[in-house]
Amino acid sequence: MDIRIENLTKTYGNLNAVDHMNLRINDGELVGLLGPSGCGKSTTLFMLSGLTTPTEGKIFFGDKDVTSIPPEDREIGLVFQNYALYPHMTVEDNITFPLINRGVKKAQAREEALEIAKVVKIDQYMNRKPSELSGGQQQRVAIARALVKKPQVLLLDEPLSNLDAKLRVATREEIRRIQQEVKITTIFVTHDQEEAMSISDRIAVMKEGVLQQYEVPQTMYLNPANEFVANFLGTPEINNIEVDVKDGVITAGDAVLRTGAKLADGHYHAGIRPESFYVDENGISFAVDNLRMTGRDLLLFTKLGQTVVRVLVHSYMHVAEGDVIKASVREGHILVFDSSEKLIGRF
Amino acid sequence: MSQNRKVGNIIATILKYAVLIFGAVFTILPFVWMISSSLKTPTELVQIPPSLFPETPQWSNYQEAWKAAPFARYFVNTLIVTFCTTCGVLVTTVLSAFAFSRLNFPGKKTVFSLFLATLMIPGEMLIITNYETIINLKWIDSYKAMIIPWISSAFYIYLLTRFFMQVPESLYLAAKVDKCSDFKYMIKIMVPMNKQAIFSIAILNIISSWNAFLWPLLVTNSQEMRVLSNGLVRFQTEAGSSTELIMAASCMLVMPIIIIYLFLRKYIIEGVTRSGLKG
Repeated sequence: MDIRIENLTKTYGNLNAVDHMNLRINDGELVGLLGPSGCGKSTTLFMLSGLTTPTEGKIFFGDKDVTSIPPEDREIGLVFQNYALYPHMTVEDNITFPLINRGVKKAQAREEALEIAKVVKIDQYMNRKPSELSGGQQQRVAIARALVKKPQVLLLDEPLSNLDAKLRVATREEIRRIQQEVKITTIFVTHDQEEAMSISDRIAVMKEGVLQQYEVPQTMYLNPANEFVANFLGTPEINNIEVDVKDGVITAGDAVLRTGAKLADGHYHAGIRPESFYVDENGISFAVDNLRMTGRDLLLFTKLGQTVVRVLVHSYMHVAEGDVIKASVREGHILVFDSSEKLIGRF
Repeated sequence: MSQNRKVGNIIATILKYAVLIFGAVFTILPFVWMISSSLKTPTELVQIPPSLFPETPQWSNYQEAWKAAPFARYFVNTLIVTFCTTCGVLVTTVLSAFAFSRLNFPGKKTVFSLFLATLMIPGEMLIITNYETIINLKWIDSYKAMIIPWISSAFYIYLLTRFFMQVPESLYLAAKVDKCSDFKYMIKIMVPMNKQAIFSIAILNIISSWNAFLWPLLVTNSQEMRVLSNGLVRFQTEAGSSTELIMAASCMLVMPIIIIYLFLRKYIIEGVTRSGLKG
């Protein structure tokens, strides 16, 4: 089911929780709504579910305007951050609950529940209570309950935030697998950029209620629309550097970062990702102030002018505190922003 | 070090049990005294020093007490009143607690505050106004008079509202998406999730209704409408009171409550500890 959001706005008092948002989601896509807390991503999700009424704007599922349709008739499955399982009911009763409420016969409901339980791999726990399951299993029950009524759209609110780090990675793969298997248009909310990038077909980044960029993860990572998106995506965080441009030469302090850039003279904000540096005999000299071993990589803390710069190198490189390394920035990896923080070019 | 801690633990345990035993003796002693008095002869009862156990248990006291008043009738009356008020209390409490905790309606906060404010009105004041109302309604000497004024309690509503408020809102929203009506949500989710609290309210109400004395005495005149607790007065005559018979009747009066308590003990303890309130 295609989803179209037009000028969607939600106002609480003077605050625009969501501000004139436009979005198109294709059938069968998995879309991540990403942003810091309070950016309006959950509000958007709850407006899609129908639990929150928009102040302005329209939501279409396919060609149908669903803006004023109540949640129970929207054909959506919703999974809450705390799973919202009914604690006094067994897993089976939890999953059949939406069917029974829709007048499905008990035997039929149980059959359908078992079918979906097999998809999410919880069929062996049907007689347990939610409290007897692990967090990851509880979440699968919640997903099964959302999917059992065969909705057109699956909505997940921070589906991974209640899980520990290891389970989180496994579960996000699981969500992707279930989504692909059921072939359902899915929207999930997260504040974790890695989570969003790893499983989404496309990501919508929001800030203060405004949609910043809506893109395929890789494109967004390499071509962030503005400084906020550039800063929000990627670990370790991107380096924010002040640069000067004169006659096509980009400099930061005394260091020359690039020559021959087609950019008007002036002062700019620039962003360089830590992994955009490569070791180069003819490059800029960096004094290593500090370093962190992360496993695959070695994160060096150095200075470019007065600014602290993080440089990522392979962990097999021999560096120690106080060493000087020479490095350059990969072609096209200097992101230059204008005064309104918009990306104006990659050099 | 560990030796010291072990000794400390033992001392702590001993102290703990000493305090508990002390408390238990204080609670149990009146009961024991009641039971033993109910089996004594009048002479034994006033003998100095008093004996803890009767020489020969006078079981005939029970027969005599039972015959002294129409206790069977009282028992049925008490049962009817207790059953009806408890059912009424449960229905009104669950409905209003649900409304206060989950529904939105204009003036919700004001109404809730008014409910709470009624808790500060002393019971004696209520008795006077309620009595006048009953008179005006011409309900005197009827079950209605004993039941209707007690089918709702601001305190229980407040208590259950707090319990209901602890249920996360997401359950309600999830149920909504699952096409569950408000009423169905209340019956299928809220009530079973809070059954301990509801059991506690039921048992507290059963106890207070069973033991109610003043109100039934005020609003009934005829022998047929009296309840058990009123029956105890029967033994107080101008010639003095027959304490052994009062005690025998009291034993019969509290027995059903003790039995109910033993059966529902688990729920009460859980409910009361979870609410952090004493019954």
